[in-house]
This record gives sequence, structure tokens and C-alpha cells, in this order.
Amino acid sequence: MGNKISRRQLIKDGGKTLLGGIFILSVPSLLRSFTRTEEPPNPAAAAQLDQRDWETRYWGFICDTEKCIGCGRCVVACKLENKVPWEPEYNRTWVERYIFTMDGEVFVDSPNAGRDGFTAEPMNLKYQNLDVSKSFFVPKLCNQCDNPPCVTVCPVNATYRTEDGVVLIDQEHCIGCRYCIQACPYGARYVLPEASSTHFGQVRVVDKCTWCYHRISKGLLPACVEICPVGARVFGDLRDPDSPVRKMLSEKRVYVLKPTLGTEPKVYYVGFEKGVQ
Amino acid sequence: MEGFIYPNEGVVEWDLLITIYPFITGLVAGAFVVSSLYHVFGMKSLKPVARFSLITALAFLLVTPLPLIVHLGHQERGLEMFLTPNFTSAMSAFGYIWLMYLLLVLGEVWLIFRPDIVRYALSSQGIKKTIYSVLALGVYDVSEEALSIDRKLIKALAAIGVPAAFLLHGYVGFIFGAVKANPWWSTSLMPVIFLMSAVVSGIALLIGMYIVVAKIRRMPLDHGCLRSMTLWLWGFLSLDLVLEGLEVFTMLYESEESWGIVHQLITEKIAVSYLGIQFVLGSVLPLLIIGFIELSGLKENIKTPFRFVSAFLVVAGVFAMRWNVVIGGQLLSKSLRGFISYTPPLLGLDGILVAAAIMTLPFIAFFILSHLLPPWPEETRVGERKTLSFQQW
Amino acid sequence: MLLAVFLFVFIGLRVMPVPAFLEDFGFHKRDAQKNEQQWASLPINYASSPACAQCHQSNYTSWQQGDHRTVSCENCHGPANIHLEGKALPVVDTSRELCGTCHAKLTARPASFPQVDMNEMGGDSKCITCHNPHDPRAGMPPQVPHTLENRAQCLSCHGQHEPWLRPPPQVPHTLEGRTQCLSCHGPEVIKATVVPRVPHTLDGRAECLVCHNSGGIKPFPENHAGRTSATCLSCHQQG
Repeated sequence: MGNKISRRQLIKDGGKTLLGGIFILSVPSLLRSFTRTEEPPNPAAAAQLDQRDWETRYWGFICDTEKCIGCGRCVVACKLENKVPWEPEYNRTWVERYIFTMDGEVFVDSPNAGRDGFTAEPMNLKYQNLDVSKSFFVPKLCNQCDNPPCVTVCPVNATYRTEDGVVLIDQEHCIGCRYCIQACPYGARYVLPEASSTHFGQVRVVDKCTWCYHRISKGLLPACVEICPVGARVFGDLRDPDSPVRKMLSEKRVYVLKPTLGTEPKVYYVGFEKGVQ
Repeated sequence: MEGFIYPNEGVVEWDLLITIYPFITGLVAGAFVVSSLYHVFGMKSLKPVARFSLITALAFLLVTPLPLIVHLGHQERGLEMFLTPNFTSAMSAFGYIWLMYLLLVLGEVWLIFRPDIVRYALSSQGIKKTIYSVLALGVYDVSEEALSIDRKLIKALAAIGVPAAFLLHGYVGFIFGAVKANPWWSTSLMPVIFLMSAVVSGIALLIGMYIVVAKIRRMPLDHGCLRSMTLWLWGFLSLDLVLEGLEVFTMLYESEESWGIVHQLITEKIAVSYLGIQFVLGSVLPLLIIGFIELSGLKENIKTPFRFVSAFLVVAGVFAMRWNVVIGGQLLSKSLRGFISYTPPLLGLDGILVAAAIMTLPFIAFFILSHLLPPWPEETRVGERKTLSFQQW
Repeated sequence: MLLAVFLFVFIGLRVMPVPAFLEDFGFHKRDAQKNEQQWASLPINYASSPACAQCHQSNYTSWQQGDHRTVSCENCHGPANIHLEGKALPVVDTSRELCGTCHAKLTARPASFPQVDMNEMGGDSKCITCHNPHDPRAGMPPQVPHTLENRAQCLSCHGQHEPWLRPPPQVPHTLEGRTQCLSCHGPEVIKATVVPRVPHTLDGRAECLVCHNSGGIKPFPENHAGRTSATCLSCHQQG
């Protein structure tokens, strides 16, 4: 029948157009992948990496709220190491102060994410009239979850989890849809503003704490751990029995943030308190 | 900012543009449901608006990706959703679902309007002839046999199209409902609520557009059709109200840790748009008005303005619902201890002007499409008296 | 037929594996080693304190032995990597505010952390006038690190022939139902675990809590909270 044949032809043509369209549109990206160089940009760094047994390590982090003094040097160190934007303010890590009063109220604050400490007035005096029963500082950063909701929801696979347990973002691939920011229960993610200049040189894409992946891959400590003057942040290999993290985990009672959500965070908190979230 | 929020939370990331996106897709789903009620389930009373609603659905469908693309941080990378999708992300389904649904609706429109296209292609001149010849895609057979095959295909497409429309809008609900980090969004009822309010908004929009367009074209209204649409609206609206009420009531009853801040959100922060516009003005009031006038014995031309007002209220209520879910959910901090505030700017890509422009585009598209493919049944066209076989369906 | 096209577009394209040459496009980072190399090639700004020892030997030595040995050099002096490459570091901030960032008295800080009321200590002058930042206690007279209440007789603890005391071993259980300490910790030692004994005489030391309370020099452990001096000797025998 005249009708049937032409309809089949129509469908065939339609299908071909569709596939052809997809193929044509992917040509620019194919070209880009061919012109990209294969060698690592820094052969010296590569040589450094090959010597260590990086395939078996698994990173972990401890925040000790019994030691944290709220000086905020970690926030500053992170911003200087990773070129995190100062203005408008975004933070890969921050410090919160919790104040519990005698009649059961809880006050939480984090002025400028704690980057200037908590000692300048008026933030120092904000709670001086309260009948305080307990107060302490809680450092926060990306928990590098083992079951990360941010990786699940990224529509283009721009954020991913590495073999050693760190969740990273491929900022050349991120389309800036910000679904991961909505999905993160800990507020660890943010969008790089227009005027920012991080190491990958991208704007309007999502960024977050990487546990200084560029440092830990060379055997160094993350900047915040390096700087902390009281040892409230501990970092190490969970599979190495001599690492400070393993040792502390075997001695202290630890807790994680929002465990009921099932994200399996890898930042463990010593000295946790109900009401910290 | 009030209370304590995480330092990175000061900005509402999914802003006005993301609020109008589910609104537009919802209208698509609702309009398509009306069209399918006739084409699949054979509701004769809806015949006058069957083709009209399909054109409306297509017009809105074409505009659907626009707010999403404008909202992206990198629009030029938008195609990555097709090339490198993440199978676990509901959002990555958008590209494929929308494309499939577009092809489906285009196919159905083409099949339904094919006799008209053929007629125009054969009888017009110049540019019009070219346009219609292209649209005809080389198929000029309008014999009875061909048309019966068309009818079967239309029925099939409309039948597939109903779950496809549900998928198109349901996945948006899932995008919100599956976010465990946000207590206002996280509920398994979310896809169903989005879907019900979508159908409701689509039907209400059709009622409103039908009345307005009939007035502009000085066409007589088919009151049976209007009554039918209004009754369907009433049915879906009451179901929608029950679902939305159930969601909040369950939260209140279970009284989880997040209830404190959610309660503060709906009674203080978004009280006007939630309790006022979404519930009272947008759901309860239209239910009462429609219930009253449809049960009463008022004359039809008195009922019409009430129906119009109800439809308008419903559409406003559904828009408020999108606002309350999208913006409302971001107003509360994930620390469960504070709120931020949001007023959309006037200018800029994320501003009110751009959003208003995007909202008018579907109407412009409808205008163009309805002139290209007039959806009106022959006997209501002013000044024409032709009767052709395709009118049977 | 249409259905087949839809199925192919909707499902087939999505389950097709991404070909290898597209991997370098960036997203899957399947080649974890290459990914790591790319990250490791990023510049680092913070060296660590031992790097400073190469040139600043004397400061480093005094810092390493002083109370600030847990405070990294870069904490006050800023990231040092550019200095290792030859550039001078910015002049260090020596204001009171910088010292106060850590040492100002705050309720939320752990009580054992050294903190002072910045409004009273030192007036308006810089802290470094008296405290060498690399060794804050150097040149300072040794402080009496406890209150002087009930401690009129310094020599009862700091006597000439008396070595400085060890803290008493921890009592790892509550005192409920355990009034007869010797029934477990007596001469016939039944439990071979730690036998807590008092390693000093009790002359001039009637008030145990003067030294051993929670704010004192050698505080008792947390499970001792609420106990009074009267009950110490019921577990901690002399020996």
C-alpha cells in the first residue's frame, strides 16, 4: 500500500535523522578527545605516585570536637591552598560553635564560617548573657561519603568517587545543574561564582572539599590537618594499622553526622553531642 | 537569614526558572490527558476540545526545555545529558523522556491533522503550499482505508502517550521526592502529587483557554464539553487535595526531627503562598465553587464566568504549589535550625522578566500552531460550511 | 516499528557502554591512575614545618621544643611553598588579634586550653613583647599552674627530697557495693590487674582533692566525678 510504505520510509528517515543528529552533535567532543594529550602534565609528580601502594589505601578523617578551639585557621588554610573564593564567601570547610544553655536551648553560629575565629566582637559577646551549660566547636567539611547521594544524582556523571574513597568533581564536565547541592545533606557543596579562579579555572560549576586530593596523592596531609594547632583534625589511611586515624578509631567512641540517612560518611566525630547536625 | 544555616546555603540555587519548569510540563501532561480522554477512552463530550488540547500540549512541550537550559551553569554542555548520562540520576532521564514524548506528540498531531494538511497542501498557493507540502511528508493518501489505519495509530499513540505523559511529569516529582537531604521534599508521595496537580493545572488551563479563545473567535461554547472538563477538574482536584493534605498530615503525625522546622516553614515562611494560595484559594475554593455551580440549576452562560474564575484560581494554586515545593524546600536550612529568604530579581537571566517571557512563549507557539493547524471542528469555524469524512472522528 | 525506534533511543542508547576514546572526555575517570596524576600535578601552597628547618635552624629548634610545637610555622607565616621557590613571605602579623584568635578566653574552648581574657592581659601592647612566638614560655618565670587555696604549705608537695608525684592509677569501676577495697586489692591479690596504691605519704595531705580534683594538676579520671576526699583512701591504699 502506498501509505504503509511511505510511513515506513518516514520512520526509517526519522530514525536515521535522530541517530545522525546525535552523532553529528558529538563530533566536537570527539575532536576534543583526540586532540587532548596523553602524557600526564607533570612527569615528576607521576614518578612520585608510582612508588606508593596507592591502590590499597582508603582515606579516613577524624574531627575531635573535644580539642577544637575554634581558631578558624583551618578555614583560612583551605582557602589559601585551594583558592576557595573569599568574596562572595563559600567554604570547603568551616567551624560551627554550639552553645547549650541550662534550660535546654541550643544556639549555633558560624560567623564568616569561622574564618576569623570567634574572638572578635561582637560575636564573642553574643551569648554572654546566656546561662551556658556546655559549649564547644565542631569543624565541618565534606564527609566523602561511601554512599554519596551527590554522585547518585549527578545527571552527567561529573562527580564520582575514586578508588581511595574521595568524591571528586570533574569541573570540565559539570553542567552546573546543582542537583548535587540539593542532594548533599551536609551543605558541603557550592557553585563557583563568576569571579573565582580555582586550579581548574572553571566558573559556574560545582565545587567542594576534596580532602586536598592533590596533596594526599603525594603523601602530604590536607591543608586543614597540617595547620590545625591542637590536632583536632586527624587524617590517614584506614587500611594502615599504624595510621593516626586507625589508632584513634580503636580508642575513642566516634559518631558521624546524620547517620540515619545512610550516606556512610567517612568523617568521624569524637565528642559528639545530640543536637549537632 | 534567620537562625543558623550552613555557610554555603545562603543562595537559593533552584530559583524561579526551576519553578516554572514543572509548571509548564504539568500543563503539557494535563492537556494531553484531556486529549487522550477523547482519543483513547472515547469521551464524546470532550470532542470539541480534543484537537485543541493536543495543540496546546505541543505548544507547551516545545518550550519545556528552555527554562532548564537557561538555568544551567554551562548551557553549552547541556548535550552531555544525552552523551554521558548517569543511570542513577532521575534528571538524566529528562533528555530522553522529553525527546521521546516530543516525537510521540508530533506523531499524533501529524496523524490527526493529516487530512487537513493534505487538503491545505492541495488547495493553497505559494508559501503556504510549500509549508503544507513539507508538513505532509509526501503522504497524500486520505482514503478511508488510510484514515482507519491513522485512527488505530492515533489510538495507540494516545494510549502510550498517557503513561508517557505521566513519566514526563512524574520524574520531576521523583527528582524532588528522592532527595533525602531535604525534609520538605523527601516523600514517596511527591511524584503522585506533582502528577495530580499537573493534570489539574492542564485541565484548568484548557478551560480557561477554551473560554478565552471562543470569545476571541466569537465561537459558540460547547457547554456540555465545558461541564465535562469542569467535572474532570473537580475529580482530579479533590484527589490532589487529599494527597497534598495527606503528605503534610503524615509529617505532622509522625513528628520526626524535621517537623519543627517544616512546621515553621509552612506556618510562617510560606504561609501565604501555601495555606493561602495553594490550599484555600487554589484548591478548597474552586472545589466549593465548582461543586455548587455544577449541582445548581443555573443557566449555562452564568456558569461560564464561575468556571473561568475557578480555572484561574486552580492554575494560580498549582503555580503556588510549584513555588512552595521548589523555593520553599530551599528556604529551610539542612541544619534544621534556620531559614534563608528569596525574592526573585527583576532583571538578569534568573529574573522575573525572563521567566515571564518564557511563560508567554507557549502562547505564542500555540498561536502559530493553531493558525497552521486549526484545531476547531469544521462546523464551528466562522463562515465555512464544509463537511468531510474526517469529521467522524 | 515506531516502538522499536523509541525503545532503541530510550533504552538502547543508554545501556550502550561509552567507547574507550570518549573516556578521556573526562567523566568516568576509569583510569584512576591518570586521574590521580592529573590531580597530583596541581600546585600546592603549603609545605610543612620541617621544610623551614633547612634555613631557619635556630628558630626551628626553639619552636620544636616550645609549647607552640603543635602550631605549624605556616599557621602564622602563611603558605610557604612560594618561599621555597625563592619569593619572600609577607611580613607576619604580630598583632594581639592574631594571638587572640587562639588564646582569647571563650566559653566554648576546652578548659584545659591556655586562654586569657584579652581585655586584661597585657593592656594594649603586643603579646610578643613578652612572649617569644617560637617558644612562648621562654624567659617567663615558671607559673604556678594551680590555685593557692588550701596550699599554704608548698613544701608538702614540692619538698626537697620528695620526687614529683605520679598520678594515682585509675579506678576502672564505680564504688557502689565496694566498700571493702581490701577484699579485692588486699595482700592476697585476687585480681592481677592494676592495684591502685598511694605512692606518697599522707603527711600534710589530708585533702586529696587539692591536687587531684578535676581542675587540679593531676586530675582524677571522669568516672571519679562527684567523689569526695573522704572516700579516696577506701580504694587507694598506701604502698
